[in-house]
Amino acid sequence: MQSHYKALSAGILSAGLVWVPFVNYALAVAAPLYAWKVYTQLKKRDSTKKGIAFTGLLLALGQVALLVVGFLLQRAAKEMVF
Amino acid sequence: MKQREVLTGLFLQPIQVMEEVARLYRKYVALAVVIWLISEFAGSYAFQEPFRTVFRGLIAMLIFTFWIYKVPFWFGGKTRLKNFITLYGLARLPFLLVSLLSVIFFIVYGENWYMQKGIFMLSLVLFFISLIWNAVLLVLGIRAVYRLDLKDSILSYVSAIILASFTIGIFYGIVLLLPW
Repeated sequence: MQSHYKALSAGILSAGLVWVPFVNYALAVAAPLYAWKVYTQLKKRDSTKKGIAFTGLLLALGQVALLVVGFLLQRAAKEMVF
Repeated sequence: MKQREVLTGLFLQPIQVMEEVARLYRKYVALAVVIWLISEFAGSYAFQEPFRTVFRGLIAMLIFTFWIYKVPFWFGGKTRLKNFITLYGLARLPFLLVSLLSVIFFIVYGENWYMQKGIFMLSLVLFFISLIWNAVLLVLGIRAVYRLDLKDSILSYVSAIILASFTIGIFYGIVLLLPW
């Protein structure tokens, strides 16, 4: 598989497995780093495929943002008085 | 192709229709916008939704539309906004049919038509069929209009859907966290 598709797969995988405990934390670290690495490499070469890696990077960062918002919501729910 | 042939072709020969739309989008843009608007308003009329819900749904739909428009460019596609609007509007034809059917149910059974025995399940099944058919039309449309290969158009569509869901989820989470 070509590297830009690998970066995209990392993003889609992290989005698909966001509900799996522990795996989601591992992917939240690994997927953005890998997608970033591939994206910067392709950008340096000025490849036409850099956009695909960028999509993977956005997906991976979106998963991280979702985890952060989920954590904040959980904390807010604990402080709430019903 | 005549406009009637385009409408039937969306079910019978979607690949040819989308290639036609990619070439002669000016001919079909009005039809597409009409389909889009009627499918939105007929659906909200059948459910008698309050303004606030319709407004939220409209924002969510626009976020989906934005990502579906934007992501194929990153895959190397090229198009114009008008061409995309034609593709997107025509791809909503399955939703138009289901929402018109729900308006008929609303007229026949009254305000709580979806509480009727069997009607709820029937409308749910029809909605899922229209959802899948809409996805097929969009993927084939992206392939023809953005001039991408099938693999890239499927991947761009999937990425766009995930990114739109993320955007809506994160925004909604932030709205819940704000102190109001």
